[in-house]
Amino acid sequence: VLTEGQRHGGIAQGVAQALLEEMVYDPDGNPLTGTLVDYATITAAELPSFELLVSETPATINPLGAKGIGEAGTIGATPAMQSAVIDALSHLGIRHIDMPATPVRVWTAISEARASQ
Amino acid sequence: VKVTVGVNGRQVAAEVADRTLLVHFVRDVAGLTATNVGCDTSSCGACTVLLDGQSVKSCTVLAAQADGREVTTVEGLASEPGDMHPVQRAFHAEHALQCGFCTPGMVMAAVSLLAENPKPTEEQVRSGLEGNLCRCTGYHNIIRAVLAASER
Repeated sequence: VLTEGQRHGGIAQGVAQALLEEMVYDPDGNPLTGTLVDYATITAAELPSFELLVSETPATINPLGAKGIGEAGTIGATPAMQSAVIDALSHLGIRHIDMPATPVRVWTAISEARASQ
Repeated sequence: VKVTVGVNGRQVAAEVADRTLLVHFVRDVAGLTATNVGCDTSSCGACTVLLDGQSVKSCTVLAAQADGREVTTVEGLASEPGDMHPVQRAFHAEHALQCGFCTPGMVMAAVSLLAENPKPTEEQVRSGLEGNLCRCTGYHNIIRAVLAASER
């Protein structure tokens, strides 16, 4: 149960990093994303339910045979999400958008790609 | 300012500073510390309580605004000590928490949501809990718990 919960949470945080979360500062160094709203912490409304599949490899290089699970979901979710965004835009010739791929950045990338066609 | 607030059925009267927030009244005057202060700016929902049965973020309600009204915190949900409210039972059964910081607020928001909409869809639960942030669970089991509670 715990390893499932840890992966749910990890996936959510990875998705959030790919799509929303970023510390932004103005030129004077004042944080513009100083609250949990401006920072765009991910909420239940942006996320789907998850289906977990297991691919296990033994941990042989420590005496306990133990591994961390807490960040496993995070590590996979960010590139998967980013790749999905680029894949969805690839027909426009877009190969890269800086993370987080916020709605504004995606919209800008689409507009620029259309203008240059 | 003198305020009298019903907290979980008990009348709590006190002389407090005008600017006292309801969450501080609940924690420091009524002595009920399950309700957490998270962001202090009504962004995170950790401080959610019921005010006359409706969910409010108690870090942005003045204690004076609750004068003569009834507040329910997570401590007051169960009908008797040691018992659990159906939403609490569902959170327990579905493992809908990890660190637990958002849980008191999340449970209160869920109770309010189910009072308004006893048979919500998954999407309605997700949008209904949008104002309550959780950093550990990815919301998956929280949503399952609220849907499970709605079946009862």
